[in-house]
Amino acid sequence: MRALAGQLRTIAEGAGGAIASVETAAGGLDFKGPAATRLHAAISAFGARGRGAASELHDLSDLLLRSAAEVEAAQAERARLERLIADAAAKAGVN
Amino acid sequence: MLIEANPTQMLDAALRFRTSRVHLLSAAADLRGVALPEMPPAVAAQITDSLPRIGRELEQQAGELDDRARDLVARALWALVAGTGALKIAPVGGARALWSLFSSSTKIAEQRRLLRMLRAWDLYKTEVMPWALRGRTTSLEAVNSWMLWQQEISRFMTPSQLAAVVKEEGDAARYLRVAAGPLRGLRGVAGKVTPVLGLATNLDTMVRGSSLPGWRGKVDRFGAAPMGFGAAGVAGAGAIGLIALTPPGEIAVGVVLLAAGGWALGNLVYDNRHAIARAVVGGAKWVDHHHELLYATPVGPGLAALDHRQEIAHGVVTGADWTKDRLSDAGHTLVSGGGAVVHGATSAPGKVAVGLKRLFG
Repeated sequence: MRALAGQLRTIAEGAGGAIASVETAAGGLDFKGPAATRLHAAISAFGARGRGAASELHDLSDLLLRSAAEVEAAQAERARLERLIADAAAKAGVN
Repeated sequence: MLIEANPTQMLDAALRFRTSRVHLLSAAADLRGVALPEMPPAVAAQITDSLPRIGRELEQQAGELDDRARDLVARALWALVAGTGALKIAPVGGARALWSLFSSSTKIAEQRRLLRMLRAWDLYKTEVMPWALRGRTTSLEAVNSWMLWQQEISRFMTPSQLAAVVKEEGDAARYLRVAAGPLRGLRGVAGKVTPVLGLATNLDTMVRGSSLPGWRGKVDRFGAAPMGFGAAGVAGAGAIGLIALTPPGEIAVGVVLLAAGGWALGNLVYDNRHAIARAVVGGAKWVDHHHELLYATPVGPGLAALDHRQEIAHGVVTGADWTKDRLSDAGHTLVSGGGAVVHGATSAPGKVAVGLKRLFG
């Protein structure tokens, strides 16, 4: 799950970089007029959607990391309980 | 409304759009290719639902970027066309960069289109602009020049393609509404060369109203004149050193004045439509018997041209030779120009009118 989280983060950063590049390119244009207004509006919407997608990937990555930590904690707790049970069983066998 | 465009920047942006598109497609492919580990059911459900959806979203955005890149390339082309020649934009480097962007499958068609555009602009410069530069846009000769240009241009470019030179910049209806406006004599293209005159005539129209009747007068006074005034002002300020006109600025001025100048001549055709129609509808036979009587009327040059058809044909065919210098010869001009009206209208009835209506109606 951590590996997947890392993959998703890398993909999100790649997509975010591409989106930022588009916004920078559009923002630096000396382009005025109705078509320019439409272009800038479209790129603005594009950027918002793209950042939304990248942000969602980051959120999923965080979710996976949190979930991995929870699974690890659960596994550790289970291991601890199993050890306790094993210890208890061993003590009962001795007695 | 001022339109500015820098073709180099637009092409650069288009390239970056396409590079980003590739990155987005790559990201989408990576999302599809990830191996899903064993996960808690709630997390698995969320991941399983989200990843394909985000992948599709990224693919869709990549597609949009491709469209935007194509649009930018097209607009860079219009800007190149608008800035070619008279506006001192070096077209060669830009055109090479532009052509290099086209894929092999579309390259030839796009190159041809570019050449058509450049030829259209060149014809406009040689056949129409000389009249405007002489401040004679109210003359029938100017109308004739315009119609000759229309006729010549129709050989390799449909009216809709020609209209695209202007229309492609922004919403066509809005652009034409704002850009459309006749001149009072010297406004328009003349304003580019003699910006002070452009300023004066535009200001006059704004203050005293247009000489045109009806809705066209209102468009002229409240739409075209302020726009032309601004454009001529920019050109004038640049001419006297107040503003160092950059290529985008030059293009902006050029596009605006081209549209205004075109409209002016279009209106002249409209205003003379009855005379032109009579010259056409009347037919050669009637003209043969009566043309002497009409030499003094606005259609006189056209009728006189019937006597000089061979010379006119030569003038039309040679096209590029029918240049500024030859236009200065009044007698030759009268005949050639008039011939253009008659020849153009009779060889392609309705084409000129349709073209003008599409362009400026």
